[in-house]
Amino acid sequence: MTPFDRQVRAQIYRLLVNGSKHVGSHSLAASRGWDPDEVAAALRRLDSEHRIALMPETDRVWMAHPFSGVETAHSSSVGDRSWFANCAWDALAILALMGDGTARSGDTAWEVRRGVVEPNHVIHLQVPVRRFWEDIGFT
Amino acid sequence: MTQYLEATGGVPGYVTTSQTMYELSTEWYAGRTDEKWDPLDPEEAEALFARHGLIGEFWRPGK
Repeated sequence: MTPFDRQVRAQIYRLLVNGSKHVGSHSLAASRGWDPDEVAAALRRLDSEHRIALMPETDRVWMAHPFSGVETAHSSSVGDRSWFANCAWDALAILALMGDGTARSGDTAWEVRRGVVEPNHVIHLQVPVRRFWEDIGFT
Repeated sequence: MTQYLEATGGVPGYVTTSQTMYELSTEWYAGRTDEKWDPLDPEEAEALFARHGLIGEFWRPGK
């Protein structure tokens, strides 16, 4: 990653953590006074290096794991703050980053308090680690 | 689980718990939002998974 790509990646996370629901080259550029075309090029590099995932054929951030840049059936909330996640694992992972709260995946919800997840459900993972990025949408 | 797989047409994959995945996440996603973050290399990732009892072919990263 170039130094600029690192800055762009970190800014994606800042915006998503702070509640932005649509992160793309223009919102990123506006937030830091960057050139939108340079940001778009950085986004494409970050996508190709699997640092993030862009919505296909766009410069909109789809996934900056564990956060989702689009609405999904998976979410996390801490107090009055909430985020979309990419999957059930990522919903729990957002709480690992942001603190105690509630993770949801479809009709299932977990509460995390002081590192304890209730209820402690069985989770079924379908895609082996080495194949995570073959079809990241399915993963 | 067998009924679930038959109903969803899913592949066997790996079965773990929400507690394990949360605890794994505290390490797997540590520092992810930082500018200096870099992905773990395959050996580091495999060792991290193993610390949480996640071992075997399913958890073996590609090279």
